[in-house]
Amino acid sequence: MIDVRRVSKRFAGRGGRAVAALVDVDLRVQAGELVMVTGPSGSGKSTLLFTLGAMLKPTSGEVFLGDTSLYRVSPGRRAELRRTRLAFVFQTFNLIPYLTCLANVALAASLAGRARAASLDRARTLLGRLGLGARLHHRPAELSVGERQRAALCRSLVNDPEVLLADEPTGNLDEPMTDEVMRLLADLRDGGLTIVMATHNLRVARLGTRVVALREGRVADDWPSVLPQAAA
Amino acid sequence: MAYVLLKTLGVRWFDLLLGAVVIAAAIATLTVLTSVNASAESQVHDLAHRLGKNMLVVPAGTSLTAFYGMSYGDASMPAALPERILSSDLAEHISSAQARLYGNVDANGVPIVLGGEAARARGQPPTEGAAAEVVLGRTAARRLGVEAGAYVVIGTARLRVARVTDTPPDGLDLAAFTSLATAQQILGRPDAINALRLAGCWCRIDVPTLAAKVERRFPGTRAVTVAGVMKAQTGTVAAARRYSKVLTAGAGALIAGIVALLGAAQVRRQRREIGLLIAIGARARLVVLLFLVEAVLLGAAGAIGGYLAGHPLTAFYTARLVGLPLPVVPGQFVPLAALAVLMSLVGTAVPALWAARLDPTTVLREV
Repeated sequence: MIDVRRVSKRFAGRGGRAVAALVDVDLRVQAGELVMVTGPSGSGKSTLLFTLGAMLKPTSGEVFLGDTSLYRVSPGRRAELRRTRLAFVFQTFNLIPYLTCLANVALAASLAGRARAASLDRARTLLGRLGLGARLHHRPAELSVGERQRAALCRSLVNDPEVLLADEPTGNLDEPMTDEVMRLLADLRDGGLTIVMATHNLRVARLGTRVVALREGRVADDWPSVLPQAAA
Repeated sequence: MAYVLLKTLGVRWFDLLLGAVVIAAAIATLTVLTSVNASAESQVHDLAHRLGKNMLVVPAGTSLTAFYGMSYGDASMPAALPERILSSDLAEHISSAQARLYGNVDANGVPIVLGGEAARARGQPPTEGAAAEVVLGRTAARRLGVEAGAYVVIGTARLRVARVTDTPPDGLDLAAFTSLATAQQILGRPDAINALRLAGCWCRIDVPTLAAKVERRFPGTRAVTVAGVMKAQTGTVAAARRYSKVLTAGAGALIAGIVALLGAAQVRRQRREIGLLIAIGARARLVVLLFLVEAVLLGAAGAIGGYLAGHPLTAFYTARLVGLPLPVVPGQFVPLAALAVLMSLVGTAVPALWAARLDPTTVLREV
């Protein structure tokens, strides 16, 4: 499903000194896995996710989604992959504040080329399924933190992606809400969705099927979780 | 996406309103300028048509622009001038002389032009209209709200409207015509005239030569001929056109500038939303398109507002500049709207490209 081959990413730091965010990372993610990427702040978790998400071109190495090398295709094709096969959930939700919950979710469907009515139908269905049926016309500011994260999750799922990339989606949530989101992710994984999630919370990390630990941009550990079924 | 665009516009309504007002101001200025220029040009043709082969003698200090703009100053010539000309050696070229005194007065509280006239043919006594009567141009009658047979108070005199004409002398539709003596009395300028129209057969002398002779023989006068006026007015129009090019360029730059500023402000303020759009798969060209559509709407709104505001402003400024509240020249809207939209597009180009190149991995992680 996802094949990361010797990916390195360096950023220009202060004084022209390069900062290595990822160093020769090799990673294979199979379909249906729930991979937890852990590590301390600055270890390269988000950089790896953005690289997997066709948003951040690595300095060297290649990232494959199926047979497609993400950074050998045109920017337009990468945008298409982000619309259709890849999805992203952010720690800060990134819902558009002046759109309703429904419109935020439908926006992603519209971008993928669905008609407005179809986009709204699909968004309504998903939001209902994730328990936000009564919040369709609320704006993000009128939703609880957990509801916002669920709405963001709906937006990422609206186009039936193959891979969900989640960057610390529980980072701003308290424990009960974290468990709720993790239950959702586990359900989605059970439904066949491949999920790669960054977290620095080891309790959460143990809920994945596999844990990849990054340290200073390198894969330090890669092991199956001891409690893969815990979230379910 | 149209819904998102509309919502975005709604969120930024104050910025956009401000931008539209600036664009409207620029377009209104150009509307006024174009109308003034076109009116000056049409006046040249009108003047040439009205003067024909005749000659107009006015006081030397008269501003012809103001004179033909129906703004009459205090400069005057003696009322005996027609008689002196017709009894001079120039009389052989002149068959008749119409002495006139024009002035700006209030009639029933409405500002109009008052013209007094006394005509005199060579070898004949002068003829004047009835002292207590007035002939009104159609526009003047409409503004005064009177018809033939009614009475109108002009200055201090109460005059009977003898008739309302569609073909007033010299095309002065906003004027009231009476006898020279009555006009002199109302305007408080006895024994003064400020225009003398000379007609004749210029078969033995060319008009410019005769004009020069009139000015030399009767100091303090200025003899106006079609050739001279055409030259002067053409120069004025040319200068106005040069000026209008600078103003048009300035207005275009202002429109592009304000749209660029608004676009840049939008990119700064909405970088997360733009970054999100890119992150969830919006193509760069869609982001650019959103900015372009917004620029078109902004330019069009500004153009419509400016054009509408241009109507009263044109009337106001032409009344001050050329003495008559002129209408906006028809057919201006499309080129002005095209200018506004085009310059809006030019202005939004840089912010649009900036937005399309935003790195979502950076902006979405900003707290």
